[in-house]
Amino acid sequence: MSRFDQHSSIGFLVYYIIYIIWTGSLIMDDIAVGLIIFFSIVPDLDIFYGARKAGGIENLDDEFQHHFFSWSHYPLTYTPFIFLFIISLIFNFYPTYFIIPIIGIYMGHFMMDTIACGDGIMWGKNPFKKDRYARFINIWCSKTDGYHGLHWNARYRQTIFCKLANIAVIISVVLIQIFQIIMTYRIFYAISLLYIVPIVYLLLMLYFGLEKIPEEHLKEPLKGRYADYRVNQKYINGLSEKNRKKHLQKYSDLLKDYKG
Amino acid sequence: MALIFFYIVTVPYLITLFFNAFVRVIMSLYLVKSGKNQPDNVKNANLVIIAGYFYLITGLILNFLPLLTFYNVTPGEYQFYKGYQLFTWIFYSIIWLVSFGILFIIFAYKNREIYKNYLLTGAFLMCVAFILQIIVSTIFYTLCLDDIFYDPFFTIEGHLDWYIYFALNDILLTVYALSVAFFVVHSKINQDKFMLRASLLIIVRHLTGMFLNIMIFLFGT
Repeated sequence: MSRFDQHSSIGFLVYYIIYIIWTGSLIMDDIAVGLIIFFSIVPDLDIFYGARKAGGIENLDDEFQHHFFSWSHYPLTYTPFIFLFIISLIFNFYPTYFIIPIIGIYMGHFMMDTIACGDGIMWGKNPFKKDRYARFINIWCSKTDGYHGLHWNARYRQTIFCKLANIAVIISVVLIQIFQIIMTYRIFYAISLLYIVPIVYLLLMLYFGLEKIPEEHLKEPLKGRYADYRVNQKYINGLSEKNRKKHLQKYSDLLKDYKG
Repeated sequence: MALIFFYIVTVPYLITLFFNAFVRVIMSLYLVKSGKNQPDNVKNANLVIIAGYFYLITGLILNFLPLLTFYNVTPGEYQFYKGYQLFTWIFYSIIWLVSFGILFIIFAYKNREIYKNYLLTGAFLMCVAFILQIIVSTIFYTLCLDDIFYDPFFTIEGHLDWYIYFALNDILLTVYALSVAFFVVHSKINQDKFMLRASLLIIVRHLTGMFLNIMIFLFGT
């Protein structure tokens, strides 16, 4: 799963459950809403860097496989947030806020990117070892794995996960709108942009996500399916001995075809 | 002492008044320019020009309508105050409803094949927002204001009219913000730089307005 609005809404809903259990309040404050919506998309911010390098977001094609090459998609990169949360918990210094990056990044983003994705996520990749890689984990991905960019998007949108995540987006919008109304009533007309901006962002992204899929995106990519880490020599060489064996065994047909 | 019409009381209010007028003029001019710079295959581009001029003229009239406040008023004067305030809000809503709503709906509908649905959606949402604005203003000036006027120790808890007022007001804000976002998206995708500037000015105006409102709150009107 990997659409901005869906990441944000899943992160938001997971955090909302934790928020209710932790604080006993059904109404989430605006700062928490803004933070969880933002942190759930943090790993994908490399898209903007990639777009800048490519001369525009429309120039990002199937070659932009950031789950493989970008440190922002290595879960271990964000471990400092876990330490920060532990410290905040020890000193009781806004732990409900310090847990937000962890929930957003790991639950809202990486957990979702582990389902029905093109690549999945290298959960064990050490971001400080450049040419050492871990195995990708990607579940329920029979329709989507091996596809990237708009080809992946076209297929992903036909999956049940995408439809469920769209419902999650709508639920999130309704909840945030209710929070906004109740908070405005409580604080007497104190309208917060931290409620309005997330709602607009979620609805706008959902609108884009529901647009008709162009026919050309449903065709097979020029380089074919699985033109990615599966046949990338650099990745294969960077795996540990045990993982390389597993990889070569799992993709033996593919590698044979690829070489052929 | 009864009703007071006034224009200028403090510097922050004066700044707000002229800032709003300035932004309105610039926004209108951008709309007119956008209309004049539409590609040849676009139908009814004059609707955008009309929207620009309509917004300019009516917006400036609204901008310089005197403010009305009251102190120790009679029931008749109070009714006049409510009527006047409601009139200004309905006038304000109609300006937006026509210029950024109806005219753009017709324009966008006639050019759907070229512009897809972004502008159409934005204009439709703008209509929804300002119809809601008329409803919200009517609720406030016919029901909510009476609560405050007749009871100095009034608290809003338990009053259904205030619940509805806040709920509708928040929904209208969301719809309005979404509508502006669609105008921005349309302009960006279709490379209409004048429309983009006009749309961004709406956002800038509101953000500046929020800042100026804080100043007015701190230093008085």
